[in-house]
Amino acid sequence: MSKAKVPRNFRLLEELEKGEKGLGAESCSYGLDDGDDIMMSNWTGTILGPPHSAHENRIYSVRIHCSEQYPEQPPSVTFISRVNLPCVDQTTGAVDATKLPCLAQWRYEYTMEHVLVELRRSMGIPQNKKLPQPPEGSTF
Amino acid sequence: MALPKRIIKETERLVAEPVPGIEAVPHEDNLRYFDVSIHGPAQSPYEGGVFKLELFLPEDYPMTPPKIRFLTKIYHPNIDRLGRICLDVLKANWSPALQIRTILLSIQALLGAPNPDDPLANDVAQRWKEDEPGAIATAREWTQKHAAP
Amino acid sequence: MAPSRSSRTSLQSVDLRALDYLASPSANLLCPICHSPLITPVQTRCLHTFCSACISLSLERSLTCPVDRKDLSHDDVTPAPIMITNLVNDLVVLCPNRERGCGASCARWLVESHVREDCGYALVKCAKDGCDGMVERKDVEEECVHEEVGCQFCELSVRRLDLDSHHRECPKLSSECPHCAESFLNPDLSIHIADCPAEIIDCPASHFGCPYTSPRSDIDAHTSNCHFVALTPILQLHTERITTLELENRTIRQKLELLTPPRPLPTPSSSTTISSSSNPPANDGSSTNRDMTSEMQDYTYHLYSEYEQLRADVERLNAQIRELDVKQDMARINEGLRYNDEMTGMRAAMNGLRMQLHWLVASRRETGAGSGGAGGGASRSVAGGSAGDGRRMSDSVRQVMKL
Repeated sequence: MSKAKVPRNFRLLEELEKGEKGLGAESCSYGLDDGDDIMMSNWTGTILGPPHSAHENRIYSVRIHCSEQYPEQPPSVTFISRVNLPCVDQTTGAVDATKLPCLAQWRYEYTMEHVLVELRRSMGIPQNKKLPQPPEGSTF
Repeated sequence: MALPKRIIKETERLVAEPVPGIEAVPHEDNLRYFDVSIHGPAQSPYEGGVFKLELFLPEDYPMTPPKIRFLTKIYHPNIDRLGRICLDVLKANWSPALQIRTILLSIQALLGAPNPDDPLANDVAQRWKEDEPGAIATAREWTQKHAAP
Repeated sequence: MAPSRSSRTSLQSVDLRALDYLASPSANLLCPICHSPLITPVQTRCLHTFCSACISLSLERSLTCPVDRKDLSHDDVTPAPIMITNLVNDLVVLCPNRERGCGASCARWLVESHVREDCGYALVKCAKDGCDGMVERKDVEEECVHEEVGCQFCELSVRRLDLDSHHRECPKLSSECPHCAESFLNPDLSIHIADCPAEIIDCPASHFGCPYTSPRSDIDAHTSNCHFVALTPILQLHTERITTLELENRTIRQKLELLTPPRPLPTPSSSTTISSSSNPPANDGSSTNRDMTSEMQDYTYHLYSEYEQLRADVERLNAQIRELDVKQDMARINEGLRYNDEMTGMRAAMNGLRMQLHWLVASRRETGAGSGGAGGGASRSVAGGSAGDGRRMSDSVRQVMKL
């Protein structure tokens, strides 16, 4: 044990405060689903589609679930808004953890913001940015 | 870096000379993370309840205050829905001469003396100011419902 | 020529704050911040004493005295009286290499030089040229223990340092069973030891007093006609009963002690009678003697109860003072944090506005983009979505307000 290890709940509180104060990335936001959930398990995130891509000006919502083992284990992420991306299951909207590098090589220091930012980045990479997208506003 | 001597000493003393009505036990796998329980003070709406809290000593403790929050639901103007506590000594008025022991005592005192003018849970504080007997009754109800020992 | 032991200095650093002290030092010599005996003590303008390093760290975060919260700057901190410095430096500490076997203890100001120059258990650089390993000072003249050598039995190569422990578990080596003197390959040994027929074991009823011991292979013959084994169930039952009775007895005794009224008990005066009756010439005076004793005891109990009462009074007063303290504290919290709170509220409101603006702009863009028949469905769900989002947003705004 070289550094103090922040326990799950205090880590999630830190993330919540960062999200509430709007200190995170401009293009992504996230908040607790249920302000009464003392275990802070379910979150909703939004991603603003990156410019110069098929996603420009779109807003995507995702559901994020943090298990008891978070942040030892990565959160599970599911798109609510329909989106066509290689890492997203086209029937359920679930993000395939093996296909998103930050989930596949998850580290204790990573946060939900990391995941949202990386999802947004994957929308803008050359091989994905021209993918045909479902109508805006449709959901899984 | 190993656990600082001060944390070891504080933990030993918490176990050897516990504060009446307060318990703090460190997790085996993380000696900076404590399970805390506080008994509601007598003559308060929280009397008879046992409230669970979690406490974490950050890396630069005691230069920064411990992080602490209620895990048991509680109806109190200075404690929000996620159990976060509004207490000056946990924020701007922290001093490294304070200890886990003194902080837990302050929290117990806060239960005995709610302070609706310095609110964290807005709606609760509002009710506390407009209808104190009603608010106290709700606090008592919640204590029975969520904090039964 | 190998360098002499004393010329090798140890680079091992000593963390003064982690030292253990021979006797627990007076609470007056502890730093209020690190709770260890003061290290390089300094004094503040308000006359509090801290370790120099501790108060510097604290002042980096808040320019107040940690004890009384009075304003304080780096310039208000001066070295503490030399007497305090001497007191803490003279405290006797145990060598930090105690766990490796050093039994030395010395005054704290000497401990660094002890580790650097004397302690046989301090780590020093290995004597062999080109080796970066560390050895305990007492072993420095031996062969380099960091060289890899091949195990002569299996194909593994291990550092000389680890050779002994490797031999104990090398899979190609056999060790002798401590009970039957037969040899087994190391991996099989532990399995064998668990049920070696030659191991001398106690009769299963040994804790009830059977003195019989025999090799494991013969124990069955004994247990079949051992009286102790036959009695075990009954004895077990009795032991359990006695334990419960003892427990009950103890609680009853405690209750009795609580209930016994604090007034003269017959025992002390009767003991006086015994002592006086064993002394016949004093027999006449024994009754007055007894009266006096009981009078004295009455008086003592009277004093005692008065003392108890006073103590209770003091405790009550103490509690009242504490309560007042708390109330005062609360009043202070009000004063100090109200402004803070207002600021947070304002910041939150601003943040809320920012978010609303953001959403407004986004939804305007959407309505601008949506057109024709296909736009109907899309804009409806967009509207539904943004209504839901709006709720969430106001929720989070509400949460921010609570900060």
